[in-house]
Amino acid sequence: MLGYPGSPPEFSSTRDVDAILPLQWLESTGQHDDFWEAQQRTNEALAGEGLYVTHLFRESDLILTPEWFTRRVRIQLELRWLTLYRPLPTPWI
Amino acid sequence: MTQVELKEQTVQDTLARRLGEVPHVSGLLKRLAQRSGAGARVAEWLFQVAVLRGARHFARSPDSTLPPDCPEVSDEEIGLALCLGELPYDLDRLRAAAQLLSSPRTDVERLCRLAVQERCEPVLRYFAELAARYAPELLPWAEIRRRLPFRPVPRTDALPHWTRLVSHTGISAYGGPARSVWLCRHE
Repeated sequence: MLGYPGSPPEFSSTRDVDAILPLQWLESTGQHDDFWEAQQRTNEALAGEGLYVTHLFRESDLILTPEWFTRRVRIQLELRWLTLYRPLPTPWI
Repeated sequence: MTQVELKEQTVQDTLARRLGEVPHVSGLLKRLAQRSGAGARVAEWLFQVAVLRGARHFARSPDSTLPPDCPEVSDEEIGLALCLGELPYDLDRLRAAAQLLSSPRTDVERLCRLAVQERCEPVLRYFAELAARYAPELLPWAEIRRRLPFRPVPRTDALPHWTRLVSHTGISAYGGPARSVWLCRHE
């Protein structure tokens, strides 16, 4: 529910968020080493609070439409270094 | 109604899938692949390094095409990385991890933190519960049973059978019965 308009505030403060990594991004070997270093340092910095970044999933391991990446919706959270999106929901019914 | 086309995807046989989980992308594995220089062969590298560091039960001819050991990478990182759900399923890697980590020198706090961050709690708890039968006081497993949170997975039958984590003495020279001895790291 994170990022959906009108959702209860407690859903915006969840500790448990899944991140989707596009295959193209993952396959660009050596170009995102800074991301993984940042993850490690973030986890070290947050260790005392029991927080960590880990729920990172390949797009191929989730149920998504082929055009999910181009049809993302910006999540209106003002963060200094991070811009967040979520996939557009699929109208299954 | 929207039409959805389902595409066939090649599903890799990972440990996570054997446990009934979706594999997460491990930052630890990415960093080790990069730092060691092993790249796509990081799983082979981890196994070889585990053997070199004391998982001698699994010794085999070293592969000289793999990069050498990285002393700055801790034993806990090597052992834990061998238990990652993202890796292709390989029982010997799991067994080598169990032997490498079976040492009082293993830093339990670091190992538990890594296990939670890398979602390896079910594997470590499994080893720890088996160790309780054959070496109840053995560290780090006794501490892991106490400290590491339980996180259930749909199935654990893909993890090594207890007979694969011990050595069997057979009938010994001292005349006692056959014994099963937990495989500890060669220090």
